Amino acid sequence: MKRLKKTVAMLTAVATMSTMLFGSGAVVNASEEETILRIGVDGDITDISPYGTMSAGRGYVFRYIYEYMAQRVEYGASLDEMELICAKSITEVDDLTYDIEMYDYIEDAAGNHITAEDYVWSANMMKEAGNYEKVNSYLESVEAIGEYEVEMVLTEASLGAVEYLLSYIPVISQTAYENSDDSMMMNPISTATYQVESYTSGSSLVLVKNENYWQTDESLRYSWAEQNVDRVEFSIITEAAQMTIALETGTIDVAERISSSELPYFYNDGEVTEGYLVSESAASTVNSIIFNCSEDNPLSDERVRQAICYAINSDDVMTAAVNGLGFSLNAFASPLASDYVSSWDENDYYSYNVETAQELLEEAGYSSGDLTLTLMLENDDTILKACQVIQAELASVGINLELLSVESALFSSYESDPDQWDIIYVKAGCDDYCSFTWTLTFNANSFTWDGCLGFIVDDELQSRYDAAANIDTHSEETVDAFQTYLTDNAYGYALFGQYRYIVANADTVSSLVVRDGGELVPGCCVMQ
Amino acid sequence: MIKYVVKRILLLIPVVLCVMILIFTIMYFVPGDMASIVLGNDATEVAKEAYREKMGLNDPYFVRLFNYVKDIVLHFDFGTSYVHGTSVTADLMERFPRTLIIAAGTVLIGFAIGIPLGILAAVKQNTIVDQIALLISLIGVSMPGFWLALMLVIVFSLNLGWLPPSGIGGFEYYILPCVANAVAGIAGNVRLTRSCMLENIRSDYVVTARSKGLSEFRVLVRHALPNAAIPIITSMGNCFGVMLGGTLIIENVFSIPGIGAYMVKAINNRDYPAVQGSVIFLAVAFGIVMLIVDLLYAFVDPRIKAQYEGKNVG
Repeated sequence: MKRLKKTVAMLTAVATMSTMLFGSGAVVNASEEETILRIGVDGDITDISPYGTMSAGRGYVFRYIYEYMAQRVEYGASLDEMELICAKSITEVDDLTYDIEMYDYIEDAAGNHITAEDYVWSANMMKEAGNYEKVNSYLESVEAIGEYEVEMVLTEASLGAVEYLLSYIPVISQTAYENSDDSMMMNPISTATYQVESYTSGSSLVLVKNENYWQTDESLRYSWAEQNVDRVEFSIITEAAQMTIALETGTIDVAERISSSELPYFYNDGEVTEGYLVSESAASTVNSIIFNCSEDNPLSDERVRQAICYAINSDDVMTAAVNGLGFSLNAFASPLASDYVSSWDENDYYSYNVETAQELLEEAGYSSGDLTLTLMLENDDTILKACQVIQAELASVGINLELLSVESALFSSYESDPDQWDIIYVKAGCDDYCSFTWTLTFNANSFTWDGCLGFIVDDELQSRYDAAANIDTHSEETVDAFQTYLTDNAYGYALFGQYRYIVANADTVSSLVVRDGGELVPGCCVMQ
Repeated sequence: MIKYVVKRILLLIPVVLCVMILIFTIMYFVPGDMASIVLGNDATEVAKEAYREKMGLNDPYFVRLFNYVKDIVLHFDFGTSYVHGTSVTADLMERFPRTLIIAAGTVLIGFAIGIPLGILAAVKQNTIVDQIALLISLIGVSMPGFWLALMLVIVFSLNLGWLPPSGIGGFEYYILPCVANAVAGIAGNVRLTRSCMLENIRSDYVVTARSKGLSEFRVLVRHALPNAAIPIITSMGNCFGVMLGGTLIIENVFSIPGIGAYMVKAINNRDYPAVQGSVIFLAVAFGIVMLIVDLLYAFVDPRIKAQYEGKNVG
């Protein structure tokens, strides 16, 4: 009995000690005067260093830690329409050369003074990091031509190139970076409106107002440089139901993204539930399928590709994938792109027609059950639901579709292998112009293998792409010409676009500020 | 006894070496391009190739294996996470306490409730009490962990507001995860304890104890339970060791950055150092837990203790 008592006592002591040691993590209580915005985000923030790889989570935060020369606050804004941040002025010397004058009083949160040399160093660091392809392909050089002046030289006059570089190369202090023990992985020194107070990988990121924000002249601050809240606490909540509960219990004030299955708790039939604010914005992603057009593949026959497009009811796919919270697409492009051609909306874009699909298949020599294809998709519930509908609809025209669902690492390996798949499900992003979506999918120069994502070797397609993407030839006509050719040949089929929803608790937040693409600008939000 | 402990610790060395080689080999041959994941879809093939070269991913198998084993053995360095750019050792040390709390809490709750209920079921065999205990264990085993976790959150966080629904922080953040995780274990422990106790309470030595006039409580706790304890301790050790490997579902549901979530993310990202570091770390932790289990055997059973000490127990 004594021994048992001892055992119980020992176990209790171990439990108590472990709780004391590990369980009582310090909870920082912010003072009552502070305004705190607590945001739930659905993806891991992963990397907050200045040159880290972009991810969904990083996308929520990086612009509030690092400052840039200028910023596009709307998709497709040209250089003239950009808001200047660290740049006092930008002069176009010629098509490829730009002189940038910086403010002479830029300092980071630690008080490090930032000059042209720092910017040159930062641009080179970004090139060296290698994970921003556009920086490497667009940027020839950056040189200091004065203490606060730099000359930026581009490799080619590409559409949106200078705008991209100005808004992606961070303005940071070389000294601060080199003094950092971890290359600013966990404790970056901010140049922007907020400074990192703490970062627990996989769990939370706390930003506090940068009291030493260098731009003291408020009239010169850009649109997103507001500091309406003192602290911004990001919590990573990957489970959709938990995001809803956290919002309902007041654990968070804002859910950066609410899944379509959880949205009815806050927004139903166009009605916002009392006590909440809902922001709806179209996401720029194009949910689409691309066909394997390699020589031996049945899909190298245009009629089979067209038959598949006719056999899919994209509204059904959207309903299944995102509970109908999306919009149909009439072109392989996002309507958010600045050069989206509005007349595309009137196009007949392979409207659902089973009879036509069957006729085309017969014409191509395929009877019901003859054709078995593999659709490769990345592991994701939304994508899987979409693919299951496609599978059912293709079955109705006699095509057997096998789904190959793989994790992201395998997906990126298999996509270059024409023997692995016949159709691939792609969520193609959009960045300012339609050509960006096409770069990721149909520009042969973006791929290391022959052709593009669908192994399409088509000189006409490439020349039309080049015309649409080149700054000198880019026009509504060239963009339309590419899209028309793409549709006629059915190399790919755009299924739907989707909306993004941000939900806030109206008891604590009075207004939400959301930028193009649907991401929250925390510092601009107004608390009750 | 000390000699036995030292011998067991030394035996861990070849085990860990084998684990190192095995996990390295598996990860080496798993398909999937890490450079694409780290640099993102936006990166050029040239950039990816440069990255592979820089990280030594193009080196032959044996060169990479040698370097990897050397770094661990000589410097206790699991390397740097390719995805996060942080030290894997530091990442593991940061996450391990959270997983340890969940594992310890789960095992404690599981056994604190499961053992008494199992004893009760055995003592009251074939009565309504026994049936209720078995029914509870059946329900516990049948309930999916993630579902129960969400139900607990709805009741205790959303409706009652007693506990936080997710995240990390003080002691209160770990109550729901531990309870949700423990329920299936409670059910298993009830059944295990019941069957072990049933074997013992019919034994001659228990009859003798009763005939000596000892109280039923004393008979059960002093005589029957220690003899039934060996399988229970084994189960406890296994359960604890498995839990240290991370409770992925619970960590995901409650947004707790623990070992399980870290390892699964590392596998998906082909973050070789993180996967290899995690597995080796867990192999060592599991080995230590099993050693403690063996020592606990000696604590409850003098015969085993005598064996460890090299005495003849005849």
